[in-house]
Amino acid sequence: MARKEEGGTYLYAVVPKAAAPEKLGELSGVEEGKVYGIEGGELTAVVSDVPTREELRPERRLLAAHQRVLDQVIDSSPAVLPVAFGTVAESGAGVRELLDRYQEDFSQQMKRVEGKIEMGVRLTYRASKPNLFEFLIASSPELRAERDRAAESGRELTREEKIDLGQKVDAVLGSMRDEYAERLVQALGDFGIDSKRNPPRNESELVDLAVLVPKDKREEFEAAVESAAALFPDTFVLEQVGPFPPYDFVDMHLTAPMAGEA
Amino acid sequence: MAEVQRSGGTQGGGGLADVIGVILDKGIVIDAWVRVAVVGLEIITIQARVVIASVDTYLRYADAVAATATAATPA
Repeated sequence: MARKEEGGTYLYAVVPKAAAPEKLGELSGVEEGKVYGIEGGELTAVVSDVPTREELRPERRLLAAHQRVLDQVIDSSPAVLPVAFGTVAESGAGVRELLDRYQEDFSQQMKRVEGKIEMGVRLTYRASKPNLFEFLIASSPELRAERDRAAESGRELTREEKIDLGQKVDAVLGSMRDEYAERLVQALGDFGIDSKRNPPRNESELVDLAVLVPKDKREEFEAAVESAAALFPDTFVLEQVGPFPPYDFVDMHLTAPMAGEA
Repeated sequence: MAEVQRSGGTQGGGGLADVIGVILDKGIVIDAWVRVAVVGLEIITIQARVVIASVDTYLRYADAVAATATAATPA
């Protein structure tokens, strides 16, 4: 007989105990479970029950449910430590053990993000004329010379020559990314407490920055993004997204307490 | 001057695409409690993650740059 794994406790976030929002009970989470808090020391874990502990598929509706709970929590709590999607404990007791065991670490991380939200700022090349590669050629005489040499040779490049040329393109793109990121970080530096650069998702994305912003400085931050747009050519789009819970600034990799462990 | 675009978190129009890469493996990660089906994960991370520099990328860049020679007028 196949043994089905029984229900579990899905984790969304850890918040200060005092901030445990009353209205959590009205909120439904992943698989429509009622959201509630589990207290441990000075902390509250925001959780909901799930019917099984089988693997969750990262489906849109589940991701959205996770994120919807987090959105509510950042609105109502001064500090939020978001938990990665798909984290399911065996029971509420396990969650309480986790809170006890990592009380210190949670509190420390909490101080860092208290009163702050994460904003994303993304700089993307958008024009099709000139396209990204024409733009790169125009900004790098060396690359232009390489291209012209290849064109003048009057023959198809060998695979090795292509790889070599491609690496040079990649290097030019890479240093442009560094330069633009530096420029952006400087422009936003006064308002962001901290910033982190994430790797680009595609070649047109030049900079993807996560910035930790005090909640009460959000207007100033948005104004700074507005002014920063002047630092980049009009073939670019500067996107501001957020607010998000501070996923990029809570870096905790923990070991789950074993079942039955005291 | 670059064009500025804004979107809210998931509350605004920005939507899930903006957070998918982030909510899957950032924040508090608890070993042995993470239960995300790997099959679906691969599909989603391919969409959300980095283009890692690879031979394929280099070949594509080379072709894209070569194509600019025919499109552009020499300076």
